[in-house]
Amino acid sequence: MSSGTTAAAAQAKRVPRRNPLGRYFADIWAGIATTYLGMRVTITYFFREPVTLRYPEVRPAIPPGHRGLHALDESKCTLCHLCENNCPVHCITVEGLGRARETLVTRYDVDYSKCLFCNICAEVCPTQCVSLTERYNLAAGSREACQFHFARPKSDEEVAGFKALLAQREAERKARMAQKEAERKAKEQQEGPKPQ
Amino acid sequence: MDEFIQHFHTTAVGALWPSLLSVPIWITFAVAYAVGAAIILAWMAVMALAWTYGERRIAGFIQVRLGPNRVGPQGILQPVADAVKLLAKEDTMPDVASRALFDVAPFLVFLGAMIPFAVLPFSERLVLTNMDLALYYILAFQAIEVIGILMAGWGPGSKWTLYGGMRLAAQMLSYEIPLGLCVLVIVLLAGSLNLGDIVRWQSHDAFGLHTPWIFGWAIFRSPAAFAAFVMFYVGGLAATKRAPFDLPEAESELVAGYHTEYSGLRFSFFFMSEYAAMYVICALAAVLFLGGWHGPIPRPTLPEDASLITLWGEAIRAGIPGAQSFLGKFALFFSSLIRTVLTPDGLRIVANEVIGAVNLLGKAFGLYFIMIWARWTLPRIRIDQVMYLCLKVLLPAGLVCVIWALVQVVIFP
Repeated sequence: MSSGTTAAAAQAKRVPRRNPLGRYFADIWAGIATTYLGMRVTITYFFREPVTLRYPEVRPAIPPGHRGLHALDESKCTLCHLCENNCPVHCITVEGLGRARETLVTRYDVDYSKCLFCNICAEVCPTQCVSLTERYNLAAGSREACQFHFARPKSDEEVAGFKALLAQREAERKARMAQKEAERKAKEQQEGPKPQ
Repeated sequence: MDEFIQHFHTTAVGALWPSLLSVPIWITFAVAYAVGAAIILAWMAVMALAWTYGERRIAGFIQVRLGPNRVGPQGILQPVADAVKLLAKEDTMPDVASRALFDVAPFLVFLGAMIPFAVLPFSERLVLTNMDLALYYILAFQAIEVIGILMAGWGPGSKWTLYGGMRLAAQMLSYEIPLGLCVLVIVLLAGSLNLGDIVRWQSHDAFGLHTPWIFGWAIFRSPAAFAAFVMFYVGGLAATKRAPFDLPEAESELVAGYHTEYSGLRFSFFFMSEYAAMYVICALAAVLFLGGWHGPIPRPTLPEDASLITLWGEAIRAGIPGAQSFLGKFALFFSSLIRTVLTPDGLRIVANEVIGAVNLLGKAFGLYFIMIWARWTLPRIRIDQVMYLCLKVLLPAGLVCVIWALVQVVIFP
């Protein structure tokens, strides 16, 4: 601090004199000086802006890159289960229908009583459909409330429709395969049997 | 106050209801003083409530936090919530406690804190008893509080309370003497033990000169008085058991010291009396050393014998022929008070009193703030250091101040 403070501090720390009376007065002076010093410091703190954040009314500024609540873009999910398998605490459960581009995510649950916000799920995701957002106040009153369901709830018709779509795709694939097989056989017959 | 009651009894009330004059005068006095005591109790409660909030808020700001701010706007209802909590708490007593001591202690402490208010002025005319021995009375009866705390220390049969009581006994032995010497300086200079006379002395001219504004205050009249003021304040910190002299209730060593075993209402008595005692010390310091109601705000000048009661009595007597019914008399009783206050003389008296009270309370609250400021700055000192400070530093310095004051009184009478 300023030079006045250091002078007072030096005064207070001065080596006691050998003369008892001198020491007596030096003691008194040290008491007054140190009291003055302390009082001066605290009154500057009194006029300082309090650091307390009035939390529910005033929210802290969250820095970018904060790892909070998950976010899932289920249209991009390929159901590769990499996040589920790489989670160190096994807090993610993924279920769904289909594979690759055409998927229907029926369940994407994160158990926040286990999650340690390590960001590995987001890092391993090949399509970057999982990320951690800046939402941080995740306290819950029960174990059930810690289970967060990220997949959009699907109605039975939707699931049935998607199953039908999958069956249709499967049928198309089978038809394509059958056609290819037929073409291959026709070609073989045309060219004759391969020489052994 | 006695003359006022007498005056009021014979002129105002007696003129309206002559049958009341046959009532013995002591009943009038008893009623008047009961009302006064109720006002003092309310003032003590308000002081304690307001300053618990103030203390926590100031402590918060000193520690760069906010302090209580959730209950009510800016947290001002926090003390009410605390009071409700204290009242609703279970009143417990240890099995081994000595019942009589345990029961009486909080009330003795409270009594000790309440008694000084009987003579403590709020302004020139706002004083319950204008006693010639007021200063002596305050210093003498504050010791009741100490007895109460010793009882609270012994009564519950707990080692924490016992240590707290013992420390207080040692502390009391050390601070009472320098405190008395500091007061003696003012008594010598002012030549009176009456608090009103001491303040009036501080408004008069010093050394035959006209002293404008604040320069009539005792601390500007004599270096001895200034030193005595500082020492009185330090001794007052010890007397009110405030940091750095809070050994009797050192929470980090003795849980809560002498009131460890008390809960609920009994605890709140200790609590209230502590804050009331702080106010008494601060107000006393303001009256003795800082000019009392002669403050930085100038007051309108008044003739010496100006009295609102006299004016009120005259107004009542003037209105009597017009009011004969019971209700009419009541209406006259209150309307004449309002009419008296609204006359130029009445307004001047009221302004005089209000400004005086603002001056005195402002100074007392300033000193109160410094007490809190010191509490959140200074670490607690050891019991031997307390005794060293009081007996080996303040006592000789107090004696020097007394001698200086004697010489000053002899040389400049």
